[in-house]
Amino acid sequence: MDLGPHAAFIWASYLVVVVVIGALIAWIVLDGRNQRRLLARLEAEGVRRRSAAHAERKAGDDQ
Amino acid sequence: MLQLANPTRFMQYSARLLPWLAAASALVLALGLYMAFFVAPPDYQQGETVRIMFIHVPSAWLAMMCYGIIAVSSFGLLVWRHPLADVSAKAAAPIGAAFTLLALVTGSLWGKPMWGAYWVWDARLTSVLILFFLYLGLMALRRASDDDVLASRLTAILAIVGTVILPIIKFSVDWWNTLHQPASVMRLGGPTLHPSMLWPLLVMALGFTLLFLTLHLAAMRNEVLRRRVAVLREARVARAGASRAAEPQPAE
Repeated sequence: MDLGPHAAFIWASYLVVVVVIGALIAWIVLDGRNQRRLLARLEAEGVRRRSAAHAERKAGDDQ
Repeated sequence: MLQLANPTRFMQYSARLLPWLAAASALVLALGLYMAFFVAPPDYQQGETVRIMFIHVPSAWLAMMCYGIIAVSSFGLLVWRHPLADVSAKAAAPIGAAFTLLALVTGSLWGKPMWGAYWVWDARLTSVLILFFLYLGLMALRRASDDDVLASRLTAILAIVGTVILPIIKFSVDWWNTLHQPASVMRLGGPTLHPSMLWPLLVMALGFTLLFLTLHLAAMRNEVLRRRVAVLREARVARAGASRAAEPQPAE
């Protein structure tokens, strides 16, 4: 593909988009993974949100 | 809509929607890139450099749309105090900053071969730079206080005040004598672009919008999880305090 005399500017533009969007996606994916890991660790310690504990109590009462 | 506004339901629905949105973004962006490089002809004045427009224009549109979403979410927080509105505003800020940065950098890389300069203090360029600083300001202000509720409200007020930049950006090319060209797609008399360039641009804009929605939804989910983690940490501290208080005190 011949992009003419300004090819470097065109490729640089697309490269910047790939790098910035790639970094954004990586940050969001890693952040999500980290938050899920922290949440799982706290729940494994037996710590529950008030609403979750309430739902569990209610389910126990219904049985 | 009201059901979706419940964080638990939002997490359920968004988990189902996210893979479809991500797949649609990838497909539309792939089609858009193909059209940008193999369908759109070189411009009679700009030559091949016109291909930068297919990423620059959608980035600039999203930079403004994202700020609009932050402003509406901030209004939702201040008026209805809905936690998801704050989650939306907080999650959108870094994404909006990234698209604004892309608009500035790709515009600069287009400007050098076309105008002979990477940067000019033109009204359009300067107002978009101010938008970028506004995004940075929103993110900094949110981290400025340990009181999350106060930080959210202050950020929301700044976001709403900052909406004044949106019409300035949009109409800067009409109000002032700028080097930046006037609107050629979103204008009263209809687009001035030839369909061979308009369609690739619209497909890329759709792809960028789908990508933004995917990223925003994923970032919102992360923020909901982050708040749950914070609540559980507080509950753990409270539980530890209660169990210490319940322990029998040694006899003096």
